[in-house]
Amino acid sequence: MIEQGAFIAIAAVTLIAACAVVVARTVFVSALWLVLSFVGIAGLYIMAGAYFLGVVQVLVYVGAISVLILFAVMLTRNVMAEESPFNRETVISFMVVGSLFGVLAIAGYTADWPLTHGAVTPANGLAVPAGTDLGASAALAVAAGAMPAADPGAATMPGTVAMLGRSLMSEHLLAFEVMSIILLVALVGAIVIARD
Amino acid sequence: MTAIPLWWYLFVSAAVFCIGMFGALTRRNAINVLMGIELMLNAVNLNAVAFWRYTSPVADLGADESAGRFIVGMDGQVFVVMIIALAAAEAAVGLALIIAIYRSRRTVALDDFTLMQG
Repeated sequence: MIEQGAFIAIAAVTLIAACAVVVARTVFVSALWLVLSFVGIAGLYIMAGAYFLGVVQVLVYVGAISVLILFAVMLTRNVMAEESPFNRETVISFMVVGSLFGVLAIAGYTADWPLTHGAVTPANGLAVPAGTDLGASAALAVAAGAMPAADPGAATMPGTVAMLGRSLMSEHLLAFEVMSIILLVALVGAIVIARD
Repeated sequence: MTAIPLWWYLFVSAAVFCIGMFGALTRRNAINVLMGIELMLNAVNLNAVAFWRYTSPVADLGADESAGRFIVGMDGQVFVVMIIALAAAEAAVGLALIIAIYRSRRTVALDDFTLMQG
């Protein structure tokens, strides 16, 4: 019950902040509301058990990207203050976006997702696909202190940061390296573009 | 463990995505459009985290069932890490473009970006 209440509170903050980002009249106010919605999303990550991603969200989005956006706002003096912040396609955009939301919400609610655990019966949590390397993962989880010692009946533990790191450095190593190159090239490109 | 159904996450994610899309479609300021795109990316990440949490393979920890169960695969979180890195690169390049255009045209209104108009 507490968990559900917390989820609803965080989700409400996130959604209100997101709406405020879109309807705020000045860019600066939009940017500040954007920070709040990023914080809300981080809270939802943590509620979902992705603790590391919650921290990364705060570091990267709240810390870095928001500051970047605020810098851009400061560097581009607001020259369009007296005009409307919206273009002429507001109504048609609202209709398109509203129908998209309807489709997404209905699909998300009605679809028969292959849940392995969650709000269903505990028996659903026992499915392990064939070929899963349990030994290493379990040992890692125990080493990282993920094991709920004497807590019968409980709680499916979310994966640990150690497991995420091992996953990044083994099966997803190529993607990881390619991503670092993309980041490097993009930042060098950004400097080149923004320079005089 | 969790008393929160999956569709709550999907609902919030869809709402954030649509709000961000509305912003990206209707705002005249290019920086506001970038903010809308960031909101959309965040919604996608939230979706990925929710599906990771609710549909990942789950294993018993040890022989005894009561020892607890934990999520085996971390692929969903790896996806989110990648998307966050890409979003950071995208934000840096996008804002650099906006600043470069502002330098030469003295405006950030998308209606005035007509340099490449046929």
